[in-house]
Amino acid sequence: MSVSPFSRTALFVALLAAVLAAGCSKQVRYGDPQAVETVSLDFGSTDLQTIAEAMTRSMLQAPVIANGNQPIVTVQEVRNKTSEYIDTRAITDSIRSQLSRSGRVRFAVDEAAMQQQIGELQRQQSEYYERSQAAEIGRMVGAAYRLEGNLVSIVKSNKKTKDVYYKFNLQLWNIQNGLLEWSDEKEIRKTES
Amino acid sequence: MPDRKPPAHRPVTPQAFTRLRLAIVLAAALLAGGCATFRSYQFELSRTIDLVEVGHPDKALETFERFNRRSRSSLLYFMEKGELLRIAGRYTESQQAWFEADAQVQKWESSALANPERVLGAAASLLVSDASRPYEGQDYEKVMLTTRMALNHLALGEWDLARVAIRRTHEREALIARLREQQVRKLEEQEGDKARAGMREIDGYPVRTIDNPGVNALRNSYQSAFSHYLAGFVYEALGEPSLAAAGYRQAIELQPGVALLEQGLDGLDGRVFDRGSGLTDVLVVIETGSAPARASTGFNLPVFTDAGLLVVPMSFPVIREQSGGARARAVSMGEVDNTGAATITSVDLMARRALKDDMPLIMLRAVARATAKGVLQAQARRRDDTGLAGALAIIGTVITERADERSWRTLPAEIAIARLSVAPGTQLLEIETESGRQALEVNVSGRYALICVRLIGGRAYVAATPAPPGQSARAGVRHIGLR
Amino acid sequence: MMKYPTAVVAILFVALAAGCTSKGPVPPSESCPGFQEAGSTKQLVRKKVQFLGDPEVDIREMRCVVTEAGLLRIDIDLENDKRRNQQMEYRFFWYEPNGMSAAPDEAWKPLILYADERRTISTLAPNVKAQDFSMVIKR
Repeated sequence: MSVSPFSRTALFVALLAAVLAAGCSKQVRYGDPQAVETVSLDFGSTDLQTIAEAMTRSMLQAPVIANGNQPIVTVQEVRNKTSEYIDTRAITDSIRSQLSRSGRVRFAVDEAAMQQQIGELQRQQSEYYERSQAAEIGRMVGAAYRLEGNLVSIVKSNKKTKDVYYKFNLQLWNIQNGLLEWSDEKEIRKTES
Repeated sequence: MPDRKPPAHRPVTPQAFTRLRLAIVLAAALLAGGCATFRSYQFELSRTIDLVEVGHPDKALETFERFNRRSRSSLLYFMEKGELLRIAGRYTESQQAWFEADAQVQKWESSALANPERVLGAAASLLVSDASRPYEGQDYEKVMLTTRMALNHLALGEWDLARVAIRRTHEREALIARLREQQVRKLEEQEGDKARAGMREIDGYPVRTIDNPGVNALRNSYQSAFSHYLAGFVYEALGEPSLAAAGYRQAIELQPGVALLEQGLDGLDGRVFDRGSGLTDVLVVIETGSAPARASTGFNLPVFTDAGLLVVPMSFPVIREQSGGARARAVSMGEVDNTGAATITSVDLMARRALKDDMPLIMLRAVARATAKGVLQAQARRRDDTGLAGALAIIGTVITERADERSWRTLPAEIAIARLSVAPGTQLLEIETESGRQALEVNVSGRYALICVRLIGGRAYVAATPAPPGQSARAGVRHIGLR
Repeated sequence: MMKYPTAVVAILFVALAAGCTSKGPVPPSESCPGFQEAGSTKQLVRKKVQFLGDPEVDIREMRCVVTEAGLLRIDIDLENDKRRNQQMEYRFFWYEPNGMSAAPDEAWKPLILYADERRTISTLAPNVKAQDFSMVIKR
């Protein structure tokens, strides 16, 4: 069967168009959630993960935690002193779950979750609940230590490059006597040019 | 010139010809009037806003729908419609309209990310009038859109959804910032100083309307202190001080030296940990007036062609000075007497800044079109000296040459805020403006509440956060009137 | 059946705890779990460290101790083989003495090595069960 040069050209054009069309359509893929992310200078997942990990590992060496007495800690606010919308609670949440996975620390309910805690406690006092199994009011355990911190950034830029420096500082305070039991910080620098 | 003249051969008398020319011009004018592509957006919106100003938001909506019988899918249509519905207090419907608008902006966002050059648009429509391109929205409108969606969610008591809209606002802002940065870099590479010359070259252009200290004090056309303060307030109300701090801080950076904004940040820790007072922290938002209009105005643009220097009539958008409307000065409510209200965002200035930033590109495109048209006219005139083709060419230029007048007009011109702590319950809210006092009865409840008042033409339209579920306060507003 | 591995684990644990406290000089490489079987630092590195995408680095030494809290602490001395800066990423994996994974995947950590630089990176096990490790360096 002979193919005329015209139809061969047409075929080629059609193929080319198909290839181009396929190339233009966007693809969705799953990625490595732990991969180093350098999409933009903004505070990103790698920053969150490295800060949380560095803080946890450092805190596990703090004497009050290393002695194995499983101290009770409450997480307070990490103040965001940057002008970027950074949810520092996402960082403290990571730190908290890594610490509790270590089995070395226990956590008491924090300020943000207090409302739900009280709500549930009060709900169980109603007549619908079995008296003997309902949680009693006045049995919550207070924390011995509180965790708080700061996140600051310094941003500089000129025409060609932009530089961001983050410093995350975390402190463990003894609630009873107000002593600082442990403190550490993690620095991150990112440059875009 | 004379030696290239064709042999004298005139089939029509000069008088007959003059009559013919007149007829053509008239017909063209009629056509232009009836043609949907060239309808006057500003005329329609002024009529609509007039109705809002005299207290008929529903009629305004009706009128607006009638004007848009044939084009109910454009971004601008949904933006304006959403605002009109919001003014009429129909928040759910308003939200639907804005969702449509937002979907279009999202489409723009993803295409902008995929292909920044296209969005930069320098070459996109060199020869087509700006007004006939699909409207993609000004940057400040895109940012305002999600801010206003957040306000709608709050009016419906949906704080969590408001948070989503707020987040979208600052994500969008960051995206726009990145795109514009690229654009500036690109333009500087390509055009050098040519692009920066801007509107000073247009003879008679009212430069002061877009180049004045107020406009130049803005960091850019799209970031507003109000959007960020509102973000701070919503995050604070949801118990997220780390995000609230960022919102308040950005607001301060955008509008430095406003005590009210600084108090927002300074008092944050205290407010978050204060659970006992039983008072409601109320943010009063006072929106006045409506966003300025862009008017297509004709100027003569000198262009160089191979036929020599030609003066081509071109139109450029002009934002005329508008009487700023009555700004809010102070607010009284409950025991709080006369606390200061601060105007923190001016959409009027943002619109002017947007036009100023656009001007270099508008100029580039205008020069390209003017050159093409100038050549066309010169050629037409050269080929037949009856002047008929020349006349047609001129008509063509006049018709197709209309500057882009489109912009989101129903947005407020100025946004002021006041913040106070009052006992929950029904309270008398008094707003002192430059032109008198407005008194309203509003109901506040919960730890945080937002009252949004739109003052337009002596009318007040109020949107307040309803009581949180479980609290049986009558949500409602009663307008007492002007005093 | 069960006795044998338990005994090995116990011996290993005691050996580790006895040989490795942070006081006094730490014997290089020998202090790390698996050195006995590997026999030399070179073999140990081959066993413990995986290189992805050919990062041109050399591992000079490893040191391991168990802290008072019972956590494995590791120092690794890296040296840049090239006369130019290298950008890479690394992470650790943690195992229980019986070979089970002891912690979820860590995040990749970015690392810059300047030309010819020799640098120690240091890490700490996420929990007491993690008594063995491996490391991945990726370019």
